[in-house]
Amino acid sequence: MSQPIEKAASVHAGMEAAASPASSPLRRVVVSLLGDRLALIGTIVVGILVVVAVLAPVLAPQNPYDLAQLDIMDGRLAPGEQGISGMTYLLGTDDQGRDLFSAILYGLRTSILVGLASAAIALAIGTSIGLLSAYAGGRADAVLMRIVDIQLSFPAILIALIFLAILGQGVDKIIIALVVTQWAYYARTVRGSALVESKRAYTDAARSLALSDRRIIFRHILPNCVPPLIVVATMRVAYAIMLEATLSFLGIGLPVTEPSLGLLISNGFEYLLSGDYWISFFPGITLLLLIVGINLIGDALRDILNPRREG
Amino acid sequence: MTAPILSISGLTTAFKVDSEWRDVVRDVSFSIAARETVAVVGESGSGKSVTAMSIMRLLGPNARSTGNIEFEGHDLLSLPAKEMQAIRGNRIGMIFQEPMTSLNPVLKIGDQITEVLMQHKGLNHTAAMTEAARLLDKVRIPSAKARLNEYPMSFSGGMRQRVVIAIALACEPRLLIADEPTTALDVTIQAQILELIKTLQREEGMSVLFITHDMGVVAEISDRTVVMYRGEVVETDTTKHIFRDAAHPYTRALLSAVPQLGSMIGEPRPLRFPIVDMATGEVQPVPRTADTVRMDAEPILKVDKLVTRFPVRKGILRRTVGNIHAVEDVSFALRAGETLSLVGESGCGKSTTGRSIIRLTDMTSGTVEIGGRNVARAGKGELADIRRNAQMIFQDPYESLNPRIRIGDAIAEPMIAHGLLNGAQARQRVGSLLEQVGLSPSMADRFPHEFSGGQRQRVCIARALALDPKLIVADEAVSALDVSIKAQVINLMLDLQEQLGLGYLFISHDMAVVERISHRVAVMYMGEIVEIGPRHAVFENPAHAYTRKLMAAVPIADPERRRVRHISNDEIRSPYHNAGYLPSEHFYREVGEQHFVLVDSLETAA
Amino acid sequence: MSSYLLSRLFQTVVTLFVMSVLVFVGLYMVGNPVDVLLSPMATPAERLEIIRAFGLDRPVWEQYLVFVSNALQGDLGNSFIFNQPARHLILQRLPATLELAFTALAMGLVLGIPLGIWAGLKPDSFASKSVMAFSILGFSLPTFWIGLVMIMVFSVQLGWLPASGRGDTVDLFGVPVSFLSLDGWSHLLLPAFNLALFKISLIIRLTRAGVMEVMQLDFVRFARAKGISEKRILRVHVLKNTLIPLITVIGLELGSLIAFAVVTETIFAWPGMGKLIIDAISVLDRPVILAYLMITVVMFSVINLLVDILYSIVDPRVRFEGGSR
Repeated sequence: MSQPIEKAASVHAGMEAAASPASSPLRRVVVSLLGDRLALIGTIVVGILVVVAVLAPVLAPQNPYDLAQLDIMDGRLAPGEQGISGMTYLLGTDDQGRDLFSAILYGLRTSILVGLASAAIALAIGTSIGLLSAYAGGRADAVLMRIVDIQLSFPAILIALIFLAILGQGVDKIIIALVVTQWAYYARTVRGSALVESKRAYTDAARSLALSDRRIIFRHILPNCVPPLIVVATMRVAYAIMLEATLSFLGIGLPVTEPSLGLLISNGFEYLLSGDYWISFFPGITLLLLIVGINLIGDALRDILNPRREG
Repeated sequence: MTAPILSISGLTTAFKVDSEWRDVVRDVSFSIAARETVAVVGESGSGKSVTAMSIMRLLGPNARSTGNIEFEGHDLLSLPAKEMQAIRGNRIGMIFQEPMTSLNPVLKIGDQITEVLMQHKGLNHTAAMTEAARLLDKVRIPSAKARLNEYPMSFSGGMRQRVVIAIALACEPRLLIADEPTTALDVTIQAQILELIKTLQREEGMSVLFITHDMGVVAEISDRTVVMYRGEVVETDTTKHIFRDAAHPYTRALLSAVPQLGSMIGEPRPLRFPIVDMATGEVQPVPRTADTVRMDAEPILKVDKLVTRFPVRKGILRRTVGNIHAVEDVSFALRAGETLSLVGESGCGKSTTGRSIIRLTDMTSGTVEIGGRNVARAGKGELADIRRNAQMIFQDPYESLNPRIRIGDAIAEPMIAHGLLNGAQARQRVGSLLEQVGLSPSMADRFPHEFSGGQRQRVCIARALALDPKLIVADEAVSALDVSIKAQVINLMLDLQEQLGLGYLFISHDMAVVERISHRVAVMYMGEIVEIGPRHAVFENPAHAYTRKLMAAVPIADPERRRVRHISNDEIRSPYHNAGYLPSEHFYREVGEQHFVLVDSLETAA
Repeated sequence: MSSYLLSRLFQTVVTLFVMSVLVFVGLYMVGNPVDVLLSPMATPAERLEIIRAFGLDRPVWEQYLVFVSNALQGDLGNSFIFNQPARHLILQRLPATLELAFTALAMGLVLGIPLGIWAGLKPDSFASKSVMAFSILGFSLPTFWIGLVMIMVFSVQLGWLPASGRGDTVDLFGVPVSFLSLDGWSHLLLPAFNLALFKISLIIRLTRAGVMEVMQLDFVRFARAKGISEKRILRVHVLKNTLIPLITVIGLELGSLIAFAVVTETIFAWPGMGKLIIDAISVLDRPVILAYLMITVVMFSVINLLVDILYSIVDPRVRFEGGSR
């Protein structure tokens, strides 16, 4: 029974005729993202950190994993000090004489890798289950969503602890644990928006045009579920990186042989009280920049992709 | 004329859009006398609601108003915020369109009424509660006192609007501003609320400013009318004069696009709307419709004893405790070139009937044949074939196009997906389809958000035509459109019927539009067809009590024909029944040629 | 109502069952607790004896059944390391963790809700933007790292507050608590704030979003048209509608605080059960891990149930028959 409704907000209605020239939804998102000052800062920060992480082997003065390159005599040098070998340590060294700048670059690499890989896998699994649940409906849907609800009522860190207790340490193990903690978010998001989209008239129109189920799901429903997924994914990547760092800090995440940022911070913990702040401090700042950057992007995306603002 | 209660002069309201001020209402002037009802009428974007909100100063920081609004010796625009607050809800009451959302869902009705009495009248809680019960009684809410302790969710839409009116009138204001107060309501409920507002106005001796898009409501309620168009007042006059002899071309164009119930007497066939030039006000003659109904051929759609029920489940075991009997034993047939309208109020099952026919909703029992093929029993492949013959157009043009797909691709998709045409052929066909619905082929690579509502509905029609259907189910297809756009889209549908011999199943709540467009009409109530027959028979000799009630409730866009109406305060009944309920068999009595009416107990009840 | 409670109980039992099987079987497959229990010098005979004593020679399902039947009698097994009942170990440390979590929750609510409301009412003001900037930061700061920084600043540099331990406790109904003594507070403040920081940011964001949404709703506009004072609109109309949905969040967040206490307890050497579980995981002290999980699952289920009941009392729209959420 909706009839022409005049809202104070539909001021734009009269100007609709003068709409912008054909612009794809994607382009509109990118333009508004770069137009937002905070989001732009976030994008630049994340961009730099990712590039630096990818180029770590080229940029790092030292391979922090190669024990032969380390000199225990250079242990716990303050930022800017020169070591025995004559090398200047920009951000100081840790207790084993490892150049912190190099270690941070490599740690960043691990952190980003773990965060992205776990998010990508969780996204794939969660999206499939969410779509399946929405498509199947009925009892299957009810059971799947009950599982999702129950899992989400448990804090991520608890689930990660359980799985790491069972699986042990390692990059692959922590990725598995992070996937387990995350898939449910994607499943719930996709299932929710798929249900909303499948009730909208354009889906009915597609069905009455006798398009195949597969076509309706993948060409009509799924693309419209992408915006909320992107928002969730951005926030989840940030969270996954943070969780990995936390678990590594607790000593149950990554092994000592593959120091991520969390492990570097953990290493510096015991020297903190004696005043050697830099071993923990600089990796922490790097981690913080990375997460703040991603969250800034996510925040802006949430506003831009808000369905109420699309039109 | 006595001194006006409210007089507006030179009101201009601007909104800040992207740090730029844009006028939405320009230089509006009119006044309202004591005990007078003034209607402000216009289409969307005309600025009528913004005008009302400007009077109440409710627009927020992103809007600014200039000019003069004189009320009881104050200039409202320059009044300090505190004093303005003392006027709102006290000297001026206001009600809004959406009764479902105007009340706070987590506060008891009583609290929402008493707060305004305590604020303005300084009553204590006990006195305010007594007064609140009296107010509910006054707006004809049964067992008022007991209902004060209930939450809004236990009230129907019509009842909520009564509560809202009670609140607005609690402090006996001199002026009531009603912003589309009946737009979201069913027609019989609308009639009740209009009648209530009229009665209360008489009792209280107040003035009413009535904002609406509906010319029928204007004719029904107002003494004087202000016509707005694109933010400006184009005409102000007595309502009678405006309807008889409008001066402004826009007003004339608007009025010519308004269907009037009962204006089709003696017309053998559907009638196009006359096209009026917005600039000159000149009427361009439109051709009469041809006789398109193919009486010689088999019907393209046969519906026999169609039943669709939705189970209602409860508890952990999700046991079915009852059913919504959305469609109950519905039968009819539709020929090529014919328009059959299903008309009724919300929840009557008209949309579910349409959806069941295309099998967007699964039917419970009965048969539907399209082009001689059984829809219910069709497998996947056959269903696809059937659907190519029967297309659907939906109500909301903003919802029925996928926002991420260019409209050219949307129209071409079914042709390509069914392997009927290759890409290049499809592109060519998209061009000609767009032309056929009155759009330009160059628009094919635009996205839906770049079109207006009327244009989007044309795109939807083009898409529906892509598969060369014989039958189109139009589910409230023009209900969301502005009146002038509505007339154009209906004309387009009549053109297409002539060119392509389409059969329309036209589902609508709007009696006046139905009268204009149909060859035959079926009236639905609580899932059943209560009356079906040729248009002229149903409209000129309604046989069923519900049909008569419905017709009496429709506002007629002609102030000369204003009737004294006897409106019963019934609510619309729910078609919910407990599990195991067996509906009684349906018998129809033939009251005229091809004119049937349901014989049932409802005849006395309605 | 009773059918609702029954279904919740059933759900909790299923969750407990799934969790215990998962963890039991999982832990059975990795690592051999015998290695932890024995000194490397032990003879094969001693080894066998230990295996038999702990029932580790029996098939996994049998071990599981023994575990379940004992658990039903309240016996969650003895810690391999401490050789004490695991239940006892955990319950002993539970009050410290709960005190930390509840204090953090209180901080989150007391700071988060007012700031969120403020930011939501004036979304374009500078102050509101500062609050949002703070919340993004709080959202992004890794708890463990900011904990270290707090120790560095407040304990090492400024020397204002102690860096570790729980300090003096006072017995309240037989339970030792810190918040009744000044020394207790001085130890509680840093870790509680550390744990709360993330939640403060979260609650700010949720409250702000809620306020902004409710302010747009028709009934707020109608309340203005009624001439109701802004103060009452905010206090009655907006707050009630904003805070009711927050109740569910608070339930979830309390659970999350209890779990995340693991991190804070590690940094501040807070003698709670989080520290215990981390140690248990690193040495595969299976009974302690299991006991911790069983107790937390039951605790979370109870919290969720209480929240649901509370929600249905406060929100007239929720009915038990309709299922929750």
